Amino acid sequence: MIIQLKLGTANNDYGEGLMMVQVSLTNLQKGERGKVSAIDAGKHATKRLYEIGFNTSAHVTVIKNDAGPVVVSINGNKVALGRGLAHKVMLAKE
Amino acid sequence: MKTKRIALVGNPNSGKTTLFNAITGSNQHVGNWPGVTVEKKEGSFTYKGASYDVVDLPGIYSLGAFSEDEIVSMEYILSDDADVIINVIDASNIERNLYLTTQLLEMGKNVVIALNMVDEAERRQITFDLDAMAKGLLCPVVPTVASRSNGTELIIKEAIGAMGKRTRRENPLTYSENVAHHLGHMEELLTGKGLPYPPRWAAIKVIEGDSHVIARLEASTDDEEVKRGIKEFHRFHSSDNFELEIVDSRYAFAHRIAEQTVKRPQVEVVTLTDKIDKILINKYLGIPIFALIMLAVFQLTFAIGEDLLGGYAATLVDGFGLWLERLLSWANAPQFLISFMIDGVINGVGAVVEFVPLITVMYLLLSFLEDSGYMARAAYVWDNLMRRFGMQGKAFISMIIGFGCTVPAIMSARTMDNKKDRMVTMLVAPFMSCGAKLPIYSVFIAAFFPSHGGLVLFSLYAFGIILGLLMGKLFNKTLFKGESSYFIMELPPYRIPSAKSVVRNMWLNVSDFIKRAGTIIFVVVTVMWLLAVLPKAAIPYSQASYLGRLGTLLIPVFRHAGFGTWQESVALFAGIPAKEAVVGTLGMLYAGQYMEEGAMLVTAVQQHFTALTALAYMVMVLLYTPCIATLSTVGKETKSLRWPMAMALYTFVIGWVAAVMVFQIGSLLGFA
Repeated sequence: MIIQLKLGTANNDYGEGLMMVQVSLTNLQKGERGKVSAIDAGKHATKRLYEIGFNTSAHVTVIKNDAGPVVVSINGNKVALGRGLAHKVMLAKE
Repeated sequence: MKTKRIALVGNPNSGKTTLFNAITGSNQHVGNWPGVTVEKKEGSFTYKGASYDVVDLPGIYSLGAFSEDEIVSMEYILSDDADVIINVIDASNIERNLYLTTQLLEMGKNVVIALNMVDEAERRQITFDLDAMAKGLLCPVVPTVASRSNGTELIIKEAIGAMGKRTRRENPLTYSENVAHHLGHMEELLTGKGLPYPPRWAAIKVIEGDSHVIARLEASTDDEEVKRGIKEFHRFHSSDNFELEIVDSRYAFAHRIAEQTVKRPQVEVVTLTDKIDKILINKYLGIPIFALIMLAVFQLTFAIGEDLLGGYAATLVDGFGLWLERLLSWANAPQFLISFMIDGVINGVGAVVEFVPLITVMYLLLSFLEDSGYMARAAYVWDNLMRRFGMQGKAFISMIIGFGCTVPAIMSARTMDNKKDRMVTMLVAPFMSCGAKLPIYSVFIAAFFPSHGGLVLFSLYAFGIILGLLMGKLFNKTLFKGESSYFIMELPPYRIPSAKSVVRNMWLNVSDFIKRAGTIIFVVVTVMWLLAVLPKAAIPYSQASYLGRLGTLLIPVFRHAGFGTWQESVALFAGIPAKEAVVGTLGMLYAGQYMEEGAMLVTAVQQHFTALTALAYMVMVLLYTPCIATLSTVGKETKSLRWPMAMALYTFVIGWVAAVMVFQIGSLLGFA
């Protein structure tokens, strides 16, 4: 498994010190939680993700991540994201 | 005075259409997946002697729209046509739903909130402080359970009450310093320019970079200063992400309201949905379970609709035919009238009507699936496989809708915001066998495969899916290159379908089937009957009739598929206006031909076909040119004449090739 690590400078929104480890949503296992930090997808997809709750610092819990789209719980709502797209959602692991 | 209007606005699958049906007494199609409603629907109701119009809109997540269905909603909201908006919110999902609400408030819209499906939220132990919510959002909040018409009176009352207080509201949002600074300037630039939107809101949209609204602003004014101002703003700030900052302020607002007014349990209640999903969307079991569900649907359709109830319908139609025949001879009716009523109407149209129980059962089962929440799961489990064929999971929902009728299947492709995905979905939709083809299969199954009805049906539908996938791949490699769009699908909670909505959805389809039997099928069969009994010199229903001559011309076309006589070819063409007419025409022609023997349609089919040619014929029916309604829908959706024509042609060729292959390979293998 490739773990994509990105070093981002945390700004005051996150308030978690100077460095933050970002992982892609596809790298989170079932049951793991993260906080949305960046979305690196196309314009449409990014906007759609914002709209359905993947805004900055939204909490995401992975429900299923094996084959097929990744299923997450966000605000108590179940959403499936295709793997390609899920890969572009970066989170700060919690 | 113009009738006052109420518009229903909300996220997909929040229950707008259910509320619409409850308020107006309409019977619009509802289902438990996001994207059921793809067009604007209108209805009305009377309250205290006054009449009000209600507009039901497709679901949207925000006021920035991409796909056709969302654009309909957005345009409508922007048009300012409604006197009040009922914002329907899924109570279990407040924060995300409030995101749209904040945008309506940003616009200064006159909003009343229906906090819908509060019963489900209660089961998940979510509680609300309604007064605080109303105060925070500056608008009335009414808890509702639209499926049981709970709270509908009150929401109507609040909506009507709000109509009087039509004033621009204060925008309750606070933006980041940076954004606020630019907002001020932009608002100044846009003020007093006679733009179609309030300047403050337009400024937000410009800074957010909403291309749709910007295009409309630019189109609505000749003011060079405005145009230049907008252009320059985006040039200078191309690297800033104001959009995200604005989105975050909206969520901050929604989050604050939710925090103050909604209490969720510390530990999320593990719902039945979670348990069911462990199995239904399991990586190994997902697709096999889908196949099992479909197999069960077809087995039940046959066992109940045909074996159990089919006989009654047939007896009824036959009994009515006998009675009518006696009545007509008693009244000394002219021979041509008797022939028309008995051969044409009873054996033609009646042959179609006999299948009402069959399609009733199938539509009941499909409605049950639609209402259960399974559709979104089917899209989920198929996404991976669909991608290998250049499509995506969402297209699979359209495909399942196609099992009922191809027209809504094609319209449902509107929810795709990528043109390529949408076109491919529309182009393969006809291969999903629809309800109108069921009577045709049913006749051939009764004639040749009576004990394997469900299985034959399942195989045909499966073959349709496989061919749809292959054609999708082909289109993806040629006309519509490129990767399929991203997949985002909400997985709504499973619900035990309400009897009311299942029956309503079923009835929508069945009544349409009956209506078609009395209209288009009747017309087609009548025309066919006239052509079969004319000219006067020819023996009626013989090869010498006009229809016989036409059919004879077509025989060479279908010879390689094994359809030997003219009746079969003619019936296929009769099926182009509407598929049921294949059965209607065969029924009419065979009844005319075998009048003396008093043969039933099934026995006649046994004489004209073998098991192999019957199979080839069913494959042809499955794949060939879709009905006129489908073609005209494709024309409307693509705004072209070329696509429906191309579709009519290419499906015919595919159907013909497949039927010929079935017959030729089957013959080689020694089947007959």
